[in-house]
Amino acid sequence: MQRQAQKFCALLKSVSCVSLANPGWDSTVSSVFVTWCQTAPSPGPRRVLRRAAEHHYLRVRLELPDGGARPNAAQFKQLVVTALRELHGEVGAALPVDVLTYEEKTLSAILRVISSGLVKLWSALTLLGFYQNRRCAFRVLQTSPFLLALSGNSRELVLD
Amino acid sequence: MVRFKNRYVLCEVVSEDPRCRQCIEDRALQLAVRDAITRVHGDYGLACCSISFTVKYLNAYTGTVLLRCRKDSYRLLCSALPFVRYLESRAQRYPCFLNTLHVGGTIRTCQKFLIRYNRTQLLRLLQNCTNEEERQCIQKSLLSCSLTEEQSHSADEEEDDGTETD
Repeated sequence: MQRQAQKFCALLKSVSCVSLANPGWDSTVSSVFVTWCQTAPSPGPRRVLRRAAEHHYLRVRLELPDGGARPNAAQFKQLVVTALRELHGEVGAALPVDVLTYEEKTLSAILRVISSGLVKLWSALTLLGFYQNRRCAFRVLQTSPFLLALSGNSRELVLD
Repeated sequence: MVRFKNRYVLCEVVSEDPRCRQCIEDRALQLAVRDAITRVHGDYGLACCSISFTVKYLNAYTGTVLLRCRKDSYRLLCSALPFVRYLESRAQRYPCFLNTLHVGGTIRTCQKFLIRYNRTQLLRLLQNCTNEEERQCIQKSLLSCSLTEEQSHSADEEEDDGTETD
């Protein structure tokens, strides 16, 4: 309450240069203060983010020839890091990349990467050509700074 | 028509082993730097730095090296230089490292910097010298390098470099 009152006084002074010592104003000011307290947002920092998102999310699918060995989650992560190391060296391999979900059946995964490394990860995935001496390819299906956006894909909608 | 802008990186080769000097040569250095770039920045970094990458000037006696690369990719090159750990020539490896002294836009600014740098190094040697003979020698070379610089700019550099190791 104390802090709010101080804030209110500062606001009043800055807005209309009202002298608070004026006796006639007292009751008016106090009633305004009460209504201000009720309508003002609750104290606490209001957070507005104007910078770019911290992470980017990619939905990828690995294409392998039929009958080959399928990587499990750990091997999949290893494959991604290998691709990064090949194209971007140790600096690329040190990028924070996470495999959020991985489905071994469909070989599709959702990757999370720090925004500054999105281009590096994407290019490394594109240029990867082999998995265990067999041809393979990464298809990047969707990419977004919001994970929720990957929950649906407008390209896979079935329209009646 | 716009000229291609380059960056010149002036380095010195620092090594404990005195035999390392004989293997400071064009090819060995280029290989070592390329190897370091490949390790740190991968194929992409190597391809970026390979455009017009050359060893422009090399002084095996003082261990001074001038590398050239494109302006866009000099950051990749500079960040990879600390990862050069050895020079290899005639199937022998000598551990050493590269110390970056200056990054300039032209060879001329690098040369100016090198002359100034070597002069300050001479002054530092003068402070640290132990006997009178050394002091005389350094003072003589200091005077000589400051005199010749007024006459001609480019000719005195070799001489200036040579005196540093005395």
